[in-house]
Amino acid sequence: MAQSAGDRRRINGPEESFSPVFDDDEEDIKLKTQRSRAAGDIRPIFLQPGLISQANGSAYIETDKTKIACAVYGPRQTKTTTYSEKGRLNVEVKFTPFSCMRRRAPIRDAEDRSLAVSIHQAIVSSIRLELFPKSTIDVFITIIENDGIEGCIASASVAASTALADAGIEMLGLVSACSAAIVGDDIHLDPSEAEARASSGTVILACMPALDNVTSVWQSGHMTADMALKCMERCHERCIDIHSIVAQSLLEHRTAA
Amino acid sequence: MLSFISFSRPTDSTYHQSTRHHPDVEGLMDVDDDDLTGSEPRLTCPGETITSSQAFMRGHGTYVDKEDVIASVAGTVERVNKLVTVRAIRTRYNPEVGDLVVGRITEVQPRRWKVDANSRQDAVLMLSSVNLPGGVQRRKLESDELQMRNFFEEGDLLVAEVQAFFSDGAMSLHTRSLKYGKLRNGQLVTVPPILVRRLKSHFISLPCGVDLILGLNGYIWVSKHMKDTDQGEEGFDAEAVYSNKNEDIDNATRAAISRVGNIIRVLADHFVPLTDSLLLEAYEWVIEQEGDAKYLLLGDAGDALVAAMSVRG
Repeated sequence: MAQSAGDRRRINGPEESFSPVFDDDEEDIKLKTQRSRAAGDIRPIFLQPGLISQANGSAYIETDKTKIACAVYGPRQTKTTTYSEKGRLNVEVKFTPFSCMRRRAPIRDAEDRSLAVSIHQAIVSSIRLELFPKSTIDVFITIIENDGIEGCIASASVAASTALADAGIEMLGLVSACSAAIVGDDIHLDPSEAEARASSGTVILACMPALDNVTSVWQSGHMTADMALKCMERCHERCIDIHSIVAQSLLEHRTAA
Repeated sequence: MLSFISFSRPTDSTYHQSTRHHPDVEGLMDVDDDDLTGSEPRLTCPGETITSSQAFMRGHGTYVDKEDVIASVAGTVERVNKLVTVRAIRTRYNPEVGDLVVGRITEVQPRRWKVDANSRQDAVLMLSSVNLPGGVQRRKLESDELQMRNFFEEGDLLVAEVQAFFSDGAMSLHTRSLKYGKLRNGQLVTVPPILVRRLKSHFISLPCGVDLILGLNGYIWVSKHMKDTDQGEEGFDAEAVYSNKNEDIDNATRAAISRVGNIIRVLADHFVPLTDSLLLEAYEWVIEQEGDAKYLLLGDAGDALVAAMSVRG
């Protein structure tokens, strides 16, 4: 039970306390999944590189209620003594305690890691790791507010790629990512949490639009192969838009510096 | 802990554009009139195709894919004759042999120190490439290995020169000169390495009793002025070189040191490349304004300083 004490340096709050959660009836679900935008539209993106002064590169992304800060440190020498020809990329994801509907204890759990793995996969192939022998690039992602885990993965991948570019790390291209969910028979792009919960399956696509390469596809739930391909196609179109947002924010940041 | 800097303020960007290139290079930049040579520096993002590889050579920050030269960092496109490079604005320091760097000891290992010099890998300072106290020239013995922490300890700052590279790209430093060695009597200011140009001398003495060491890796040491000792190589003061004690620094010098430190911070915030004459002018301007050391960091004083400098420059 040593673990249950939690981190004694933090204010841990009561052990267990939940606000009452009521069952949503059909009406509510319908209301929540009703979108104020078209099925093929994504939430508006605010992206700002260079917000964290002590990091080598950083980015802050906000898509409606999803808010994510990303910091990049490195390339710096790997602490272990083993020699490696290629550089290493570490991705660490943290949720703030107030990021979700329920309080999240500041302890690493399985979800952090699965998020980190998918973000790692989305960006690792864009970085020219062969140029950084013996070095490590650390990417720290803090999820300040979470509205749908698929949107988080997509936004975090975009933020991470922006932060890497801000840090001046050599890359093949900028990565942008987009998510899609199947609600009923429709494809909703960039689903919110309520939409994702009501959906039968989701797809997250990460790609480098400048090179027309796909870096990662993540599909869960059940859907027909046809549907999955259609989702990827729609996501890819949006990725091209997101790419221009990323490029523009980087260029604006450069001219302002 | 995260600290957020304020949202980027719009600054007058004409100043640093006008000083973008070294004057010697400036003429080479506009050889003929194609899309690579505009008066405005062209900005690019990773993955963007810059030009075809048939007519141009690829430089740093680019790669070639199917006859296209593609940018791999976000920054400004630069061209010298046929060589196209992309220079990232915030990046790690790329060492070259002969560069003067300021670094911090991170680790003591058998017969070597590991030094953080803002590079991609830790720099290495071999025991064989430091001066022994007393100035005697001899092979380093086992007894020297045992007292390595008497020379440099973890956390110590030092100034050194890049001597060579190892096969894996890590740089090897040396401090075999009286100018190099442990640093004391001052403070460290870090700026983006791109802002420190190669100068005739990186040891600058300002007339206000402040010495500056402009490390090419972006680490700048601001310290009390040291009197030039005219002792030869042989008889240098053993105690002083590896001493950990600061000398007495009077209040006027302390104020001057922090004032110079703040000037550098302000100039770096506005992305102005640092030179000795610029720092001297900036210091004179600040004295004219009759503010104390911290006044520069408050309100519009920093913007005013940069504006005043751009008028003179």
